[in-house]
Amino acid sequence: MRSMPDKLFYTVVITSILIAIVIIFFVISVIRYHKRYIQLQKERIQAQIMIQEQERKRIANDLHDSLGPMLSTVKLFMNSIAVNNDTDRESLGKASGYIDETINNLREIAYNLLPSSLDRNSLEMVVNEYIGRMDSRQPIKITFNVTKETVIPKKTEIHLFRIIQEIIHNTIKHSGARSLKLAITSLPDGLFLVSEDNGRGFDPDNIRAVSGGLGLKSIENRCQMLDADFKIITAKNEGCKMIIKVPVNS
Amino acid sequence: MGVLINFILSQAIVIPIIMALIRIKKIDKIYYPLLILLLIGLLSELASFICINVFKTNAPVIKIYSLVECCIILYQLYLWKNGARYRPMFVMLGLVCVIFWIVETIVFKNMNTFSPYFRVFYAFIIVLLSINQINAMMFYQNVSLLKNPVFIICLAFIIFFLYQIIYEASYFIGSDKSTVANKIIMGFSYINFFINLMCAAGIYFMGGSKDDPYSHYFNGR
Repeated sequence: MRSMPDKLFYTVVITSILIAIVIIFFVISVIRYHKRYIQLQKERIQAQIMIQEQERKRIANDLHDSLGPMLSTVKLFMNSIAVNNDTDRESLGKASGYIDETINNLREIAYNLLPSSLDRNSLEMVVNEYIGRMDSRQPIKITFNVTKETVIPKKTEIHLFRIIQEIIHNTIKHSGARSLKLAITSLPDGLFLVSEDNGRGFDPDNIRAVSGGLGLKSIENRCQMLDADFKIITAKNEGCKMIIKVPVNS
Repeated sequence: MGVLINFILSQAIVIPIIMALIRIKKIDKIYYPLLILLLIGLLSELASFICINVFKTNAPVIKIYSLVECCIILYQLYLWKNGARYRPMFVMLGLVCVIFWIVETIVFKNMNTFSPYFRVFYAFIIVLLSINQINAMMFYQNVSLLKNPVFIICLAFIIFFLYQIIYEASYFIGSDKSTVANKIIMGFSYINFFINLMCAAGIYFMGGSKDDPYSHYFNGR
């Protein structure tokens, strides 16, 4: 027969163990569901980005293959019209000029939507081509370097290109910077994309709160897709530095 | 005074039942096991009252009610889980509980005495399942949890059955042997009252077939 203090002791111990198991189970369950939730979020972002890329591709192809040739045909027909009146000739010339401009803009938009050369060329070449196009129209000096022996996985290229595109776009639109340096370098623990400008800088939290920070969100989403770390070092009037670290096995 | 208060508190099960009767047409079929459990709870209260007066013990009523309560709550949690892949797990848990009850009550011939083991065991299982249900809802549901009947009732299950574990332990020690145990046993009526109020609140928020035009596609079992 067990004595009373023993009975009390064992009952308290067993009850405490049961309650401890409940608490541990609660914590484990929260962690497990949180992991699943993050995975779900990631899959959602992946799906969104994939759809976005496909849609961009479709629009770019439509612009390039359908609207472009049509405008060229219009121009051809316009040039074949025989006009005797000087005023009409001048009008036709102007219209032809506008069509040329429209075709150029259309090509530009199609290129921005889909850098088709990324399939055939390296990221370095495509980015340099993109910067070349921007440089001619913008007062900002953009440099881009990829260190030697850096191997960028093909799957990662499109995301890095979109991130670079977003950084350049944001810098031109908001920073007021005169120079932007971009570099990709490969280190043992991953691939690093670093950008640095000498613009007016910003407060990331404020940007997110005030404007929604769509550009930043887009970069963050791409980083999440690559399992990459994203860090911004910036302050008012001190420029902006962004460091993106893509893990080796991303 | 204490006996009267205890009696009044124990009859609080009538509150969620009245709430359910008022809202019965608006309540989805998926919540019916819980409503049936409340009715069985009321019947067991009446049966206990009669048994105590006639046989001087209500142990058989409590034993049978415990098994029924365990099975119905497991079925209710299975319905809320809403996935066929959980079926084997719930069937297995139900079987384990029934076997446990048979061994404790019939094999060890404990029908007329109070023993805590089965009541602690199924309370423990229900607490774990309710925690799991609440966590799943926290991460996957986009609606306000405070107005979600499943959340409110699972929370009530967790509070009630955790207290039941402590209550059974106190009962096992004996109310006459320890003042703490005695206070825990006396506190059960208050917890019971509070839980019934939570159930009533849960039933108040139960929507269903009329609120959601698509619900019958998903809950038409």
